[in-house]
Amino acid sequence: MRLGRLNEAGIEKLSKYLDSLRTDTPEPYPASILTDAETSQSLDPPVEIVPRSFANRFEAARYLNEVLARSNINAPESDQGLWAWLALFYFDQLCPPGNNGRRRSPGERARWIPVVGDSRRYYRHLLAGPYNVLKAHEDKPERTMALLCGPLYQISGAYEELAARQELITNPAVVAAATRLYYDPTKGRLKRAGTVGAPGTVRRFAEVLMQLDVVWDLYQMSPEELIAMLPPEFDRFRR
Amino acid sequence: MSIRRLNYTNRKRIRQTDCQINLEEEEGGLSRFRADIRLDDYELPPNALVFVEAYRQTSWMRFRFGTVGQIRPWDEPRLIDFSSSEGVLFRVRVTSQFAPRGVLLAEADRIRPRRADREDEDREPLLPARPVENLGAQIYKVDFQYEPILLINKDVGDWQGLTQDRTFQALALPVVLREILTRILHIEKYTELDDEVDWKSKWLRLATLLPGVTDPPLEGEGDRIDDWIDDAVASFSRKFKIMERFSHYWTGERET
Repeated sequence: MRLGRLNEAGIEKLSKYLDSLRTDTPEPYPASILTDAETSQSLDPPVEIVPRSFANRFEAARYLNEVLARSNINAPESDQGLWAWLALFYFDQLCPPGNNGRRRSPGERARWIPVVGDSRRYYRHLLAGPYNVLKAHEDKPERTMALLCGPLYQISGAYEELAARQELITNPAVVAAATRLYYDPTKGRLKRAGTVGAPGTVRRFAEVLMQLDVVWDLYQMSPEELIAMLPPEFDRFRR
Repeated sequence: MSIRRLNYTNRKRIRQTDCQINLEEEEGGLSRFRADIRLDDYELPPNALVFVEAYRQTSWMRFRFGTVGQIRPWDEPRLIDFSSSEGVLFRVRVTSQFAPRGVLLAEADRIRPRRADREDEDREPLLPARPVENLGAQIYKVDFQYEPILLINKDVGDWQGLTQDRTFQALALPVVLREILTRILHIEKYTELDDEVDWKSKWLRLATLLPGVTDPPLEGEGDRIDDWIDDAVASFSRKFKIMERFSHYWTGERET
């Protein structure tokens, strides 16, 4: 299929569809929005994209990075119509049906239509968010696994805590340290950390780093140096 | 959840007027910049390292600018990791080079670059307004991620018209002023008036220019903050005849 972007009418139709999923009478999946000339346009020159499934957000981000690299879009990260189109294209994975056949709640609109100008929400788009994080760490994408190891429909606490803070998400050592502490490569998922905000959890990791950031230039540190600076509450993850 | 950052160090705050960044667009959308950094007044070790960073959301680049004793620009600093220079901010950091290495000695953050080709556009209002989606049932909200921005719910339709509407102004602006001053004094704990560029200084200066408003309370006078904010908002409301504006709407009288 040819990659496209939704126009204003397409975004409005997508919004209405999302709204209907929160009611007792959900509308059927509006596939025609993706190709209808009134609601979308194909990229020029055309770029092919395939409907495939992804094991996690990391895999999706990597694939989209490859696809967008073939396009001539100057600033894909701020292309609202493009990400709305992609979210609709991969809708089944971003909003899968439950056991009863009904789709899970689509959640806030920012997960589907990126809020490009809002610094507090831009990262919440289910596809643009992982793409931007991977792009920021393109030199060694594996360091983002703690943030991107989950299913496409899920914004993990690890992602939310780090992606929301520009000082942390852009720092390779911070992201690598998070992956070393919280990602279990043998199971391909985050380690169990307990209650949100409990000692040693990702939320505490972000809080401690933001405090260290006042005193130290964290961008000069290696992941090992950062981990060594953490207080004993992180010992169970350090092992 | 916002995290309060406590500065117990002797880290110095570099005035933004001492860090001027001039941005120039090149063909193809890339930009390069020139940084004019003056650190003579800060008593920093001459061998401390100077860095200039450009950032926007998940994009970030760092450039070495020599040492305090010898500020030397990076060759041709280009923002190659930014697809466009829109919304890019800068920070200048000075850090120790020797043990303890990496201590942050001084910093200027959220520096808005000047653009040679956009002198007029650079003169932004103190409180720019932007339409956004996802405000739900809220009409407006003040965003503090960088500098205060009045976010207007796109669903209201003519959002620019709303910001010019006298009734909206009467109801919203005193609340917005109170929120911004509360943010500056209670959360940021900032009281300086002399920084020409810092948004917090600009807002505090605006308040002190209102009739009858004194300088803001200094550190250690925390119990005076709420009274001072009350005074500033009351003076603002008097000066801009907020009650009068609202009364015309409420009673249906025509304004003269």
